[in-house]
Amino acid sequence: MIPPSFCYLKFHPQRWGWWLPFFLLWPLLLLLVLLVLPFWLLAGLFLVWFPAGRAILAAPVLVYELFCSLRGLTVKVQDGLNDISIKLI
Amino acid sequence: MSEETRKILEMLANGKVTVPEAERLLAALGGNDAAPSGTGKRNLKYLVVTVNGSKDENGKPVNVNVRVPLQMLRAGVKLASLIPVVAKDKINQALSEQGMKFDVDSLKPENLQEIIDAMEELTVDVDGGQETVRVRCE
Repeated sequence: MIPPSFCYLKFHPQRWGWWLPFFLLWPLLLLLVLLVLPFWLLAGLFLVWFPAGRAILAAPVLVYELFCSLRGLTVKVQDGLNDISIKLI
Repeated sequence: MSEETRKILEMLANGKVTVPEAERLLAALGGNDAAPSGTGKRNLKYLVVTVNGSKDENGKPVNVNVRVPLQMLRAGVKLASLIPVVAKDKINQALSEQGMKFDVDSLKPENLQEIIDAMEELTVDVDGGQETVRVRCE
């Protein structure tokens, strides 16, 4: 599971688009995970005994999976005035 | 259709083999005949929704193209499994009020794969005069 590397944005009337380097955020994301991980594991020792607690523990992993699955998402909207393209690569 | 395929289908019709067994036998025969449902599938990756709308005030058509990775649907369904039962009941009730008899609880990752497999040949075209909506997998 690899998160999106780039986000391409294009808005009318620009002829060129913006390539946002999402991969630059990966180290920050990793740092955040490393900071939160000890607390998450500690909380897991208590929460794992309750169904709701297990759901809370699983949520960050599933959210990350959802974020990674955004790779390939493309949205294009065109009309007379607006021409918007969003791509996650 | 070859003789072997015919025999397998006859065995299936007579109840001598189950559907999965017949699929395995047909798969073992190789690609000489029409592929059974479990083989030869395209590797579907995206759900594509295309809306070609009516013309705006400038006379230009309004088009919307959305390509959603199917992996995103899978991840979404997994995440939806964390929704509390109380919230699911409310969602079901709201869907029911909108005329959609659908149990959100029945949407599980394994069921979703079946749906995705079934969508291989599915294309939905809605033609509403000036607007057309097309949903397909690719």
